[in-house]
Amino acid sequence: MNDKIKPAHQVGPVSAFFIPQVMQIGIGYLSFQQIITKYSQQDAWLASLISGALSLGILWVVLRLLENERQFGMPDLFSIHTRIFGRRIGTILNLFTVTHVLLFAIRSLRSYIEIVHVWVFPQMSMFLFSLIFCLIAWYIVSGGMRTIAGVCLLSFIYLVPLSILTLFIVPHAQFENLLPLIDHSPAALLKSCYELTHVYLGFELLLYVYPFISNPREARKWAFRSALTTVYFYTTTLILAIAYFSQGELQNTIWPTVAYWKSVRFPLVEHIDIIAIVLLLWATIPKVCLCSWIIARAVKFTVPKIKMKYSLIVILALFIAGTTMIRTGLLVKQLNVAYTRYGALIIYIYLPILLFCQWIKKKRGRSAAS
Amino acid sequence: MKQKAALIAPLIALLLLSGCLPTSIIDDVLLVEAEGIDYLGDGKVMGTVSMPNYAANPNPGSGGAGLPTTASMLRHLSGVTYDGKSLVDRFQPSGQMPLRVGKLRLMLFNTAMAKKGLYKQIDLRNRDPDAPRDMSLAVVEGSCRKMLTSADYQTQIPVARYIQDMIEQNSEHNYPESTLETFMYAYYGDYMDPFLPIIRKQGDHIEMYGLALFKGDKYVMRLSENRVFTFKMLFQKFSQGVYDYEFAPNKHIALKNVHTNVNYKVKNGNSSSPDIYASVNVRAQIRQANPGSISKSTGPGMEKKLNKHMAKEAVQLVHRFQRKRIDPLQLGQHVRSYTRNFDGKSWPERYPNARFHCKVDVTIRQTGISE
Amino acid sequence: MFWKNSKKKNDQGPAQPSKSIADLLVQLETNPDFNHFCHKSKTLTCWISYINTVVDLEYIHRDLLPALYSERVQCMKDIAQVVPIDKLIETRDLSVIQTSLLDGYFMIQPSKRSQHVYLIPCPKKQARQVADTEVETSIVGAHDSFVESLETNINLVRSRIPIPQFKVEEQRIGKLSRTRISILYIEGLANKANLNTTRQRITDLETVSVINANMLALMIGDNSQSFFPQFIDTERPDRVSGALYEGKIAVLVDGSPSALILPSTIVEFFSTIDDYSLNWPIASLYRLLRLFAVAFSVISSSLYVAALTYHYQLVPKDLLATLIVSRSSVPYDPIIEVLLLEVMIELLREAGVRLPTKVGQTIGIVGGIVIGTASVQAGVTSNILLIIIAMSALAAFITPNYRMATTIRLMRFPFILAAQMFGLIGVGLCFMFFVCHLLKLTSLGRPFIEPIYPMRVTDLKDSFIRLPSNMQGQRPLFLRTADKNRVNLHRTMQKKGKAKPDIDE
Repeated sequence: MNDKIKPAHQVGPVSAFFIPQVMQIGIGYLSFQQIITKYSQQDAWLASLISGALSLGILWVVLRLLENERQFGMPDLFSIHTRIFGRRIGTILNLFTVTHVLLFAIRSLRSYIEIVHVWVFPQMSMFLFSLIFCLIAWYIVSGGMRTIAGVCLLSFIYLVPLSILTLFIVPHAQFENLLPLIDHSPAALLKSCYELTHVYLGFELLLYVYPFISNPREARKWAFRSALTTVYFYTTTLILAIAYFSQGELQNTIWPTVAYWKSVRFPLVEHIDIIAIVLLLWATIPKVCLCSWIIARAVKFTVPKIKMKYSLIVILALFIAGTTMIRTGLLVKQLNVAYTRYGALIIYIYLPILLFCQWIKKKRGRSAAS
Repeated sequence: MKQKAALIAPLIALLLLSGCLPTSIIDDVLLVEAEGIDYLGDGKVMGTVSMPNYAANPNPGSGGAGLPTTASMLRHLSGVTYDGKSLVDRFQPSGQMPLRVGKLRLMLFNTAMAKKGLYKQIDLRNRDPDAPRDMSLAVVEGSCRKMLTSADYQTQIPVARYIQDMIEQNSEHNYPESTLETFMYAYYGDYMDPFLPIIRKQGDHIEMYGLALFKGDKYVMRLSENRVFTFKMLFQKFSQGVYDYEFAPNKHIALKNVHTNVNYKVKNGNSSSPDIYASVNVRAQIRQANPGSISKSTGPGMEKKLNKHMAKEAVQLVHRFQRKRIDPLQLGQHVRSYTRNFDGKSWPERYPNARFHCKVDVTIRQTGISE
Repeated sequence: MFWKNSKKKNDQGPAQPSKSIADLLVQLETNPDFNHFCHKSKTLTCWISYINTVVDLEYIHRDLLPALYSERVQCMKDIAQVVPIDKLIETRDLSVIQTSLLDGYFMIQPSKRSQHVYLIPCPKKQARQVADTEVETSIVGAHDSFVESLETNINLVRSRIPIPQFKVEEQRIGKLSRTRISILYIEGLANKANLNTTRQRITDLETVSVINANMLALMIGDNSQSFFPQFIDTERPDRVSGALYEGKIAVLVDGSPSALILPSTIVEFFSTIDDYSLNWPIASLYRLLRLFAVAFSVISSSLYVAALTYHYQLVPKDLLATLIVSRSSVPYDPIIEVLLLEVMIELLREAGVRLPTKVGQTIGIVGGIVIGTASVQAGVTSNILLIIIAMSALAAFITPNYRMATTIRLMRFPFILAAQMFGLIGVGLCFMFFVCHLLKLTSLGRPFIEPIYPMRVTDLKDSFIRLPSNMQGQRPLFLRTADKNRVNLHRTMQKKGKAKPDIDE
C-alpha cells in the first residue's frame, strides 16, 4: 500500500464534520429514549450530556493518536497497530477493531430492516431488500472515498427535515415533566450513560478515514463541532421525549421517535412516520458504505494483493448474509446489546490504552536514540 | 460493463420473480372508520365496526367530493367476541375486501365496558403501528352499536366523522383535549388517571355529556357538563371556553374566556398531607349577562365574586376526586415535579389527604358593545 | 482486436489524400459539378479547377476570371498582385489541396499535372438568417440565436466579447466529415486544465462524422451511459458569452445551431437567461419554483402509485373520499392506470413534436382535453390521477434545457416501477440510486452536482437561488478560473464600508 493518499482522492476538511455526524445518528435515534430513561427518568438528558462530553474526550484521544502517527506515515489505525505491535499482533488487533466495524454495519442495516418490518411492510423480503441496498452501496463505494463523503453530506442534509419534524410536538410537550432537575444518584446516571454509548458510537470511524481528509488542522475543529452537534441533537430529542411522554408511557414505547412522527399531522399527508422511515434510508446507506470501504481497506492492508473492488463484493455479500441470518426482533436486540458492549470496550478502554502504548513506544524510541 | 450487467440482470429477474408485497389498494380495502365496543358481561363484548362505502356521486359534474351522503352508504358489522379481540380480525370473514384500521378515527366504549376496564383495548391499540395516535376515544352512554348503526340522524354526514368532528370541536372549547395520545399519556403515566368525553344519543342527534373519569383503566365517575370548564381550567391553558355563572337565583352571567392559564406550586411534597397551590388567571369577556347586571363600573365587583366562586368550585372538584382516589388533573405529577426525592410509593395513600388551595384571578376585558 | 481491423479499413478510406494530384483530379472529374479546364491566353497558360457547387460563382465570374484573363498577368507570380484577393495560398501539399478544393477554393495550376498550385478562397456561404430563438425563448433578453454557420455563430459571440483575449481555436474532426469545430474561451480566465481536457477529448475522438453539437456532447461526455446530459447545449449567443465571461469554455460545431458549454453543473440546467434580467428575490423564487417542478414531475406519479397501492394511511382523511370515489370505477391497479396515462402523455408529446407546427397544436388540444376527459368518463383512469399526470407533464416542460427535460420525463418510469415493487421504500431506494449516480457523475472531470457536493457556499449564491450581483464578486469556484474575482473585491468592500447617512440626513 502506498504511503500517501493522492490529493485527488482526498476530501475537504468539512467532511470531518459530517462523516462522524452521520455515522453517529442512525436507527438508535428512534429508540434510545426508552432504555435511557429507565434508569434516570427525567434526568436522562443529563446522562446524554455526560455521555456526549465523554465522546468529546474520546474524540480527542482519537485525533491525538492519529496526529502522533502522522510523522510515521499513514495516520490510520491499521498503521498504528502494525507500527506499535509489529506485523503479527497488529494484524490481530486490526481484526479485533474491524470486527466492530462489521458489527456496526450489520447492526445498522438489520435495525433498519427491523423498523421497516414493524412499521411499514411486515412481509418485506429481508434478502431482497438487503441485496438492493448493498448493490446501491457497491455502486457508491466503487466511486471511492469522495463519493462516500458525498453520500454522508447528502445524508446529513436529508436528515435535517427529520429533526425539524420532531419540533412539531413541542406544543404537545409538558416541560414540567423535566422537573425536579438532577434528582438521581450518579450511579443511575452512569448506567444511563452506558446505555447511551451506542448512539454516540460511530465517530471512532475517523480512525480509518482520517488520512483521506485534507487540511487536518481545520478537520480537527470540524470533528469537534460534529461531536458537539450530535450532543445537541440527542439531548434535545431526549428532552422532547421526556416532555412529550409520561414516564410510564415512555417505558411502554419501543420507538418513541416514531411515535412523535405518528402524532404529527399535516393537511396534505398523515402518518408522517412512514415518510420519516423512508428518509431514514439515508441514515443507513452511508454507514453501510463507509463500513464496507473500511473493511475492504483492511483486507488490502493485510493482503495487498487483493484489490478493493473484488473484496468489496465479498464484504457486501457478507453483510447480506449477516442481516438475513438474524431472523427475529429478539436477536436484533441481542445484537444491539453485543454491539454496545463491544463498542464501549473499544472506545472507553481500548483507545486510551492504545494512546498510552503509543506514548510508551515514543519514549522508548527516544531513549534508544539517545 | 459486463460486470455490471452480470450483477443487474439477476437482480431484475429476482425482482420480477419474487413478486410484490401484499398490497392494500385504496379502493380495494375496507377502511374502518369507527369501532364501538359494548360489554355484554362475562368477558364477552359486542363489537361494531363502521366502514364508509364510497360510491361515485350519481349525478356527474357535481364535483368529486363523493362523501357517502347517506347513512345507508355506511356499512356496519357487529358481532359478539371476547374482550381485547381485534375487531378487524373478527369481521374479516364477513368482509368482501380486506379490512384495514389505518384510518380509524373513533373508538367508542359503552359505560359497562368502561366500568369493566379498558386495558385490553388500549393495549391492542398501542401495539398496532397502523392505528393513528390522534384518533378520538369516547365513552357512550347507552349502546355504541345503536349509536353507530342508527339511520335516523338529522345530518347525513357519516356518524363516525360526525362524532370525531364533534369531539375535536368541543375540545377547543370547554372540553379538555382527549385523543388516544392524551389517554395513553395519562393511562401509562404514574400519579395520574385518564379521562374521556362521554357522548350520548338524544333522539335524532348526538351530544356531549360530560367527562368520564377513570381510575386506572376503569370508569368510576362522571363529571357533569357544567363542571367541565372548571376541570379544563385546572388542567391546561386554553381559550374559547364559556363559563356560566348564576350569581343570584335565575340571574346568569356567561364569560367567554379569552385566555386562561394555570400554575401549580407544591409545598411539603413528601409529607403526609402535601399542599398544592393552583393559581388560575382568566382573561375573559362577557358573552351574555342578566340585563343591567354588569357595566364597566360594576365589573370589578363581579370579578371578585367570580374569583371566589370559581375557586370554591375548583376546590370542591378536587375534593370529589380525592374522595374517589382518582387524579385526572395529574396533581400527583405536579407534586412529583416540584418535590425532590419524591416518594412515589406512598403517594396513593397521601393523595386523599393533600390540601388543595386554589386562587382564581378573573379579569373582565370587555363587556360587549352595549352598556 | 476488432477495432484494429476497423482502423485498417479506415486507412484505405476516401478521406485519405490521393497519392498524386492526377489521382485526385481523376477522382473528382467524375462529378458533374467539378470544373477543370485549361486557360490559354497570350501571356499565360494555366489550369483552373473548382467545384462549382461550393464556390461563389458570382465572385469568380465578376472578379477573379476577368483579372486572371487580363494581360497584366504574365506569369503565375503576378496573380498575387493583379487579382483582387486578400489571400493566396501557394502549396505543394496534396492534403491541403484536397480539403481546400472541397471547401470551395479556386485552384490554379501552371500545368495539368503540376503539384505546385495556387489556391484562392472563394467559398459560397449559404446560411440561414439569424433568427429568433426557438427552444430557449426569453421574454426580456436578446432574441438572436445561433444558425448553422460557424462564422456567423462566432460573429454573434465575438460581438459580445470585444476583447483581444477572446480566443477561437479551430479543429477538424471526423474521419470522413472533417467537420470544423471551434473551441471558444477567454485567455486568462478559462482554466488551463479544462482547456486541455477539452482539446484532448476532441482530438482523441474516433468517429466518422460529427453532425451536430449534441452528438459531440454525447461523444465527449464523461459518462456516456448516464441518463443525464453533462454539458449544456444552448442556442443563445448571450448565454454562451455569459459563460465565457465566467471562465467556461464553449464549443461550436459547423452546421449546428447550438453551442456546448463546458463544464456544466446540474443546477445550470435549470437556470435561464431571464433569471438575470429579473430582480433577485423574484429570480430566486422562480428558480425554486423550477426546482419544485422537477421534484414534482419526477416523483408525483410514483408517490400516487405508492400511496394508493400500499400506504393508504398517508392520504388525509378529507381527501380519502375524493380519491376512492374517483378510483372506484377504475378496474385496474394504480400502476396500470398510471402507466397508461404516462404513456399516453408521452405519445402526445412525441406526436406534437413530430407533426408540423399547426397540426401539432391541434394534437395537443385534442389529446389533452378530449382523450383525458374521455378516459376519465370511460372509467379507465381516475380524474385525480389525470390532474397529477397533466401537472407533472407540465412541470417537466418548465426545465429550460430540452435534453434535461427529456431526462426528467423518462426518469419517472423507474420510479413508478420501484413504487410498485416496494412502495415508498422503493421510491426512496430509486431516489437514492439516482442521487448517488449524480454524485458520481462528472462534467469535464469536475463534480456534476457541485454547489451541493462538494459544498461551495460562494457557488450556492447562484444556484437554487440567485443573490444580487453585488454579492457575487467571485467567479464559480468549481471552474478554478485563472482570475477568481469578477470585480475588484477590495474596491467593493471600500464602497460597502462607507457610512450610510441617518434618516433625513
